[in-house]
Amino acid sequence: MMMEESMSAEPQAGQPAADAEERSAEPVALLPDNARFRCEGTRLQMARNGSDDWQEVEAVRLFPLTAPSRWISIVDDDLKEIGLIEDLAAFDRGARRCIEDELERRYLIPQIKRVISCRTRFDTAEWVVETNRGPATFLVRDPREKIKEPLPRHLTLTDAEGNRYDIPDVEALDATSRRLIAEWL
Amino acid sequence: MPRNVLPEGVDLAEEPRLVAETDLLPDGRFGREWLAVGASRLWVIAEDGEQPAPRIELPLAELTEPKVRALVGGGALEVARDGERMELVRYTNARAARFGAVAHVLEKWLKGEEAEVPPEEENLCPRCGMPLPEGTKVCPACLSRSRTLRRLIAYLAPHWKGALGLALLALAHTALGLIPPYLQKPLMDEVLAPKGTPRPIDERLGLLGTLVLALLIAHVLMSALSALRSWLSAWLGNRISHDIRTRLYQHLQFLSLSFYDKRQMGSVISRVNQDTGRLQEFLVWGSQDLATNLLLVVGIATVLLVMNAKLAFYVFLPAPIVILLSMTVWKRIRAYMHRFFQRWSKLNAVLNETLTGLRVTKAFGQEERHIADFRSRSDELAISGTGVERVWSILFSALSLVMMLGTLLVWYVGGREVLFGPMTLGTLVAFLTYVGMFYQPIRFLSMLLNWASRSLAAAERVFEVMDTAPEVAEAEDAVEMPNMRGRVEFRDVTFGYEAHRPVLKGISYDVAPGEMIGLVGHSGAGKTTTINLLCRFYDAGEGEILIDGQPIETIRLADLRRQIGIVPQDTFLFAGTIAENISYARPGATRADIIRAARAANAHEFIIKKPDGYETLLGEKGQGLSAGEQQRLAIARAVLHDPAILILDEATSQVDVETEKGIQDAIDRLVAGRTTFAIAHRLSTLKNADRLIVLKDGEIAEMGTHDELLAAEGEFHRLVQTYRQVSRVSAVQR
Repeated sequence: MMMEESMSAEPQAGQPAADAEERSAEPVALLPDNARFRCEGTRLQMARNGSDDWQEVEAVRLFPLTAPSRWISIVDDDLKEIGLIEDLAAFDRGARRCIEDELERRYLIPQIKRVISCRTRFDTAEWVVETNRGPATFLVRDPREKIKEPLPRHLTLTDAEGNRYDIPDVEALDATSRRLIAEWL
Repeated sequence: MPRNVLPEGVDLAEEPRLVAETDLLPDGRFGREWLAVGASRLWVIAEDGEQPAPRIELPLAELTEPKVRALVGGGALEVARDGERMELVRYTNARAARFGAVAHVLEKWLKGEEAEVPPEEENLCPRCGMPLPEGTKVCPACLSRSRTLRRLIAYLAPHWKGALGLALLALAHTALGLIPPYLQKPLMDEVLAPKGTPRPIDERLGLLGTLVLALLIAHVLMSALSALRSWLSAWLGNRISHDIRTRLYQHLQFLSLSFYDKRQMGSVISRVNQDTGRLQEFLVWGSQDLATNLLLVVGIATVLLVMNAKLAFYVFLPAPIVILLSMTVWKRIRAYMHRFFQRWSKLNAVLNETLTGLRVTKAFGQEERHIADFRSRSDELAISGTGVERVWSILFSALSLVMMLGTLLVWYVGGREVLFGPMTLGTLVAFLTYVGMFYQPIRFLSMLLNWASRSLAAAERVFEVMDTAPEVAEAEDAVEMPNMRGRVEFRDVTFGYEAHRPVLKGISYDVAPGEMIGLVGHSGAGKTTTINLLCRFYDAGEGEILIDGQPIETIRLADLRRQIGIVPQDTFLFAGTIAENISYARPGATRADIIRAARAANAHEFIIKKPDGYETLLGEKGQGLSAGEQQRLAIARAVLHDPAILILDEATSQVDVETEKGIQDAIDRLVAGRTTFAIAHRLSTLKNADRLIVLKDGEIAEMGTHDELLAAEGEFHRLVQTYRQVSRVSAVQR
């Protein structure tokens, strides 16, 4: 039968594997003296220093709302962690650019810069906004439920199609935008 | 709105078999691109400048492994070319389901297999383009209000006598309400302050008595009618909402589980609770207020016009302002009220959470933090409450002022008429009373209309659920199967909860009557899904499941459910006695049967220790019983149900060795002589099963007895090794 299956030790039915390495509480810190990064097309690659074995990796923010350029976890295709970058600033500009580009590609959630209008019809509000990814018009059903404040002054809106829009600091918006939003808070 | 057709002016060398529109550009900005796949080539077309043109063109023969990469807030479709992965297009969550399906089809095409492009599920209203709420085809914006209204009225039909009576009462009440001011006119002009030569004093005294008596009668009648009307209206409203509520609940019971997968249970519950409640509130109170107020406005306007057309004009003058103003007032106050209630419920949530978690709070010494948090929230609530009152008082004072302006206008113009014209004082006084009565309903009308509109929305949400057809429905010519032998065949069964993501892939096997099958595999391998299909909670997409040679879809549902019994992983016990819970599937079971079942399940021994024995009352979710006791009750329930096919979803939670043995004995007794499917976690179950089926990623990895599989040293061997390691670790920890 499927005897040639790889023997990687996956845990059974949600129970943790007793793998000693996985149990270690200390994450593998990635620093310029043990890791190198480069971009290859639209992919981020990483190699350990002293090796030319370039591996395709992805970058994941651990605190996407409050620390977008710190605490970056570098993971493989199966989202298994390879190592952790505490601060991108430790790396030289080239590597940093590559990682930032990867983050930029991964995090598609637009940030609202300005609210142009908000019209309500029944339980649905139509928002016309200016975002960092261009102008957008979207519909929010049940607006009071779908506008959340995960952190003080940080708002998130979820539209009818499951897309999220962020406002990192509602106080930083202009007066009109603030007034249009305040109606829903 | 995404259209899966190529933009104008794009000419490809081949006729595309598939076109899918994106909503993001490669750099992550909003914009459109199109993925097109022909017989031998693939294109990505960009809307570059004026004329859309291909940005990527690739021969299909060189491509492998199309797959979607999940991103935060969207995704990307990738393929490999010469082993190098490349990104084709990116899209937001709105298009994620579509590109999931596209990747699935593309994968088959690249392997040279046939595959149909599934039609895109249209989730936008075809009329207004607004996205439809999850799992419905009813657009809340486009749904004609009159249709909903007609449907509501249809619920009136059985109670038409009451409805007619109510309408007549409303009419009579309104007409009566117009009388007292009208009597003021002769009271003034003939009795109190007659113009010209007055009548003799004793005649005036007699008239005074008559008029006051008439006023008294009018008021008594009005009070009586009003009481009668309220009572009748409450009766009717409660009747109708009872009808709607029970019909909704009945429908919910028969809806397929897939309906509940697509929704949050909270929102379903709120439809039964809140929406029907809101409907009832309006049907009982709002509708009669709306009707009488409308009638009053029309009635008074007519009387005013008849009495003095010129003065009536001055009365109507501020009416539009009153309407407009009360509309804005209402809107503002609603926003404030909502904010107030939002904060109120947040405070409640905090209260509930922190008091429930008080043990944790105390253990970590965080009391002060919660006190501070509560204080600030309570403070916010107080501020918000004051705000509501402030807005309320200011706006309503303004409204009263505007209405008063109309009255003052009538005083001035009417006063001049009395002084210099033909008008009598009685007419003016009557007029002024009507004016006061005229503005009241106008002020409330906008509020009532708002109320009516929200109630209609509630009605729509309720009707929407009632219009959802159960996906698993009984065939018209369903076969009766009162006695099953228990032969089960899976024939090439493929199924996914979402069409493009199969969980089971082409599963085939036969199970003989009385055989015990152990289903083994990681979570997500398809064990629970197998069970769901066997119980026919869902219908298989491709392939078929046969019981005693009969396709499962053609078996009468009642017979199927009667002969399939489940011992679920999490025992669900209803509030009630232990006996009621054991006999849940057979409400008519005798006490002797119940005791026998409990004994077979090794539950008898703990039940007799309870002061109330079999009549021990269980709280919600079996409060007052340990996990092991709950499991044994679930087994007793299945024993009493006596099914031909038994499904055993073993609990992963560990119980002590003694209890474990008791449960195992009970299960052994239950399994004997029945076709059994066990989702196995216990080693003993694995050993006892006649055959084990090892599932991996929705496919059968291995099949055989416990010893055969161990000897084969394959997937099962590996699972057991991991399991042993884990149990060794937890044994040390214990």
